[in-house]
Amino acid sequence: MNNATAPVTQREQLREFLESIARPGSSFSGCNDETNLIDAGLIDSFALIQIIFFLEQSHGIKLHERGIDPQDLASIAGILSAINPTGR
Amino acid sequence: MAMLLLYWHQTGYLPLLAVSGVMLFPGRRRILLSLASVGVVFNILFNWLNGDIALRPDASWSAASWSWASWLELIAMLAVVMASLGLAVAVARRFEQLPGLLRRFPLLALHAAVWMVLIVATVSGINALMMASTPIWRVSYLLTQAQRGRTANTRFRDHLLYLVPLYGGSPTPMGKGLEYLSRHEANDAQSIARSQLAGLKLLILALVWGAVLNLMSGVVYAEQDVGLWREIFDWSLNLPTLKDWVGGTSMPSVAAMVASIYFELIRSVLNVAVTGHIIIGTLRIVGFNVFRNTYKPLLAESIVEFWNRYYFYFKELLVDFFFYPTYLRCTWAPPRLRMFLAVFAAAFAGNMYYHILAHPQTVLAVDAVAFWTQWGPRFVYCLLLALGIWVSMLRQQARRKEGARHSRVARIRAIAGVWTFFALIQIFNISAGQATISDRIARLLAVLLQ
Repeated sequence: MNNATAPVTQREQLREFLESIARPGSSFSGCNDETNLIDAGLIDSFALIQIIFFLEQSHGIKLHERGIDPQDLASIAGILSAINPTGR
Repeated sequence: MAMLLLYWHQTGYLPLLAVSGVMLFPGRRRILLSLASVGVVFNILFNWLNGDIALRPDASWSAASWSWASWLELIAMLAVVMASLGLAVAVARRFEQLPGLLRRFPLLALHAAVWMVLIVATVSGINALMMASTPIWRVSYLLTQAQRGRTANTRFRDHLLYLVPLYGGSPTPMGKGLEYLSRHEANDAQSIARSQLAGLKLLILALVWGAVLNLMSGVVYAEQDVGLWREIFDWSLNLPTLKDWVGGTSMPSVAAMVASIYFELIRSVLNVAVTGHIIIGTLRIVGFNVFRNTYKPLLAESIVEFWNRYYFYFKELLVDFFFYPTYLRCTWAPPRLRMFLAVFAAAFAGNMYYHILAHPQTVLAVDAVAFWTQWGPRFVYCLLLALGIWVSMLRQQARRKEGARHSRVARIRAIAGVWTFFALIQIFNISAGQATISDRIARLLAVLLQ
């Protein structure tokens, strides 16, 4: 499955989750799938832990076993790529 | 203007030359900066040799004794350093061809190798080998990038940008490694202009904070080297510095101690800010628009936020090399314990290790008493810091779940709490002669119990 065509619900679900862990007062309105959320100041590097936890709990992904670098999870595209590895 | 500011900040002739070259020919940025890096290595070696540091057991150099042989040795040393860096990059570029064990644990192998070199340096007395630990965290970023398969098509000269940064600094890589720098590199006229403006802003801020620090020396501490303030006003709060009363025998009044710990916090934040702003300002001027090292930590509303904003690249180093690896491996632990282990791996173990590696003499001398005298207080500091960060992270997560926002009064109270926490734990971090842990606990209790 290509990330560009990832189910709308999956992307929306992810966006909703990311908004819940974002810095208070920050807005996702101007960012696209490729935006680095840390560079954009929307989340800090510790929020990545919550993304890791989210991926482990809701998708059963073991990042360590798959050799995924946490920094690669700093964008929506990166997270979708971890969920759907064949998409890339 | 940028050049004037860099000159004011005493960045040295080589960075000035390189920066002006990059400003004139931004398209040649990487080659100019890597050439400057070679110049930096040359400069370091020249100064060492000129400073009469015995780089060989039998060597005793001085400026007067410089001959063609001295120059030859300098060039030979330059070749050795460049060859070592070249070897590190070559290994990274051929990472896939390394033995399986090295591919799995490249950082462990690197750190083990550096400790071996340090032991050889101690046993043989070849002091120059002690510098093997200086670029270790930069090489660690190189190997991490290699482990992710992103070094194969990179050039040696590009790696020189951060392995030997012309913008100076400590062993902490501000601007991290090549991957991070490349991600923030400005490649068109508009983004170069934006990056340079952001750099200019930091260089001006460094100037302002430097002036505030100077003013603090006169108004708060009555230190001698504050010409203008002294000439205009003959007045000062005359407070003792934290170092003075933690390391000294006399105990000042409680009010003086309390004021002193808060002022020390401000002073240390400003010191870090000035250094970081000059380095990041320089990086931005040459077109790498990376994050600031210090971003308003005194307005942080939680301990973890302060830690994130105070010394960003040191925190990133601990997070990249200690926090994430621990967190990712401890999938067996329940969430709170997992977080606890990762925080302690970074803020406690990683923090201690970083500093011990930077000053490894007592370890290499196998002197347990000297080791504990030197590192005991920092052990307590790191322990308290890690505990504070862990509790703060748990509280932050709970707040995020509730979606709670601070009211203005609650925000001020939160900021005051963060100030107090960091001001108090500084008692264990300040370099204060031979003050032991119990001396420092006595000082802490004197502040808390009065």
